[in-house]
Amino acid sequence: MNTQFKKGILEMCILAIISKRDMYGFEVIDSLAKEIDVNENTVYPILRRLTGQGLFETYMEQTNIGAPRKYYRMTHLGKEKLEAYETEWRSFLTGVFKILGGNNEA
Amino acid sequence: MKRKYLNELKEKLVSYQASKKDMDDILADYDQLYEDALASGKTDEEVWQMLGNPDEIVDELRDTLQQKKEKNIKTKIIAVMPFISLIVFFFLGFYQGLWHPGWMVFLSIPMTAILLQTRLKDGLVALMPFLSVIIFLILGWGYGLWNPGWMVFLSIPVVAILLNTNMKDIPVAISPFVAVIAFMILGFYYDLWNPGWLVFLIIPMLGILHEKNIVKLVIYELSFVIAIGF
Repeated sequence: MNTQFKKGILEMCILAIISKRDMYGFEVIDSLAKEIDVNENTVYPILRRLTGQGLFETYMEQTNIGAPRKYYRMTHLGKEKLEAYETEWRSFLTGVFKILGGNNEA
Repeated sequence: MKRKYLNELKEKLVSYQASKKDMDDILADYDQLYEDALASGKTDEEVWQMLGNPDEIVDELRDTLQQKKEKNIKTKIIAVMPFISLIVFFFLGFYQGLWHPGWMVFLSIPMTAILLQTRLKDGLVALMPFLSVIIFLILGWGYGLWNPGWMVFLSIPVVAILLNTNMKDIPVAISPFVAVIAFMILGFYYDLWNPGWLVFLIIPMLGILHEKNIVKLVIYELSFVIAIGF
């Protein structure tokens, strides 16, 4: 699969899982790796880029052990981006399923 | 292992000239990722694999990094050096008649790039060939010392060894060069080619000093002493 295409999907997945609740870096990587076959070392750079684009904001939270953790929280802009991604993705999948002749529900 | 990983990552970020703010931010994040991964039960090898090779990480992070402003200035200086060298060369040639050795100003082009683009230690190693050429030519043209002036070229590997070798290994590593220099001096100035060649025995004698078994060490060293005495 095309690398850029994969990265696009990964971006959407990262947006989707952080939209459910605030997460710290390792939690994001771990959650993704449990569900999909992902190149784990590409997750942090994407997180950082999306944060730079204003789709996430970060805050520190104290932990019981060690230094405080950086958490990622979705912004309003992030929610809009996720909705746009989802619409685009569902329409794409519907088209793909039509072509394949299978179930067209995405 | 974590420290090693973070140091490698830091080196890659430094060589990319990432700004201090970006560097601190990324290193703190990776420190935390590493700790969390270890806490989840992963081994150091698994964590390295999960986080990825520092080279690839910096490549992936490129579009999120701000480079230091000074890099732009350095790049500009390197870019104008060929023009500056040419102007200086023409000035020396037309006005002072110094076409030769004026051409040596062109050596400043790679030397400037090395000075501005590499870290001090690597820069010194990289500069040594140029410095050796300059010193060799000065000794040759200025003082007629082509021989033994060529020996300055031995400083190229010697400097690299001195800057990149553990302190305890330095004597063994530089002993071949010291032996060559001593042999040449004994030969050229005192005509002691023979038995001057015996100085080369210092190379294995120093190497043997690394032997841990004291009995073997004494036997080996004594065999050399006896050979020299004989």
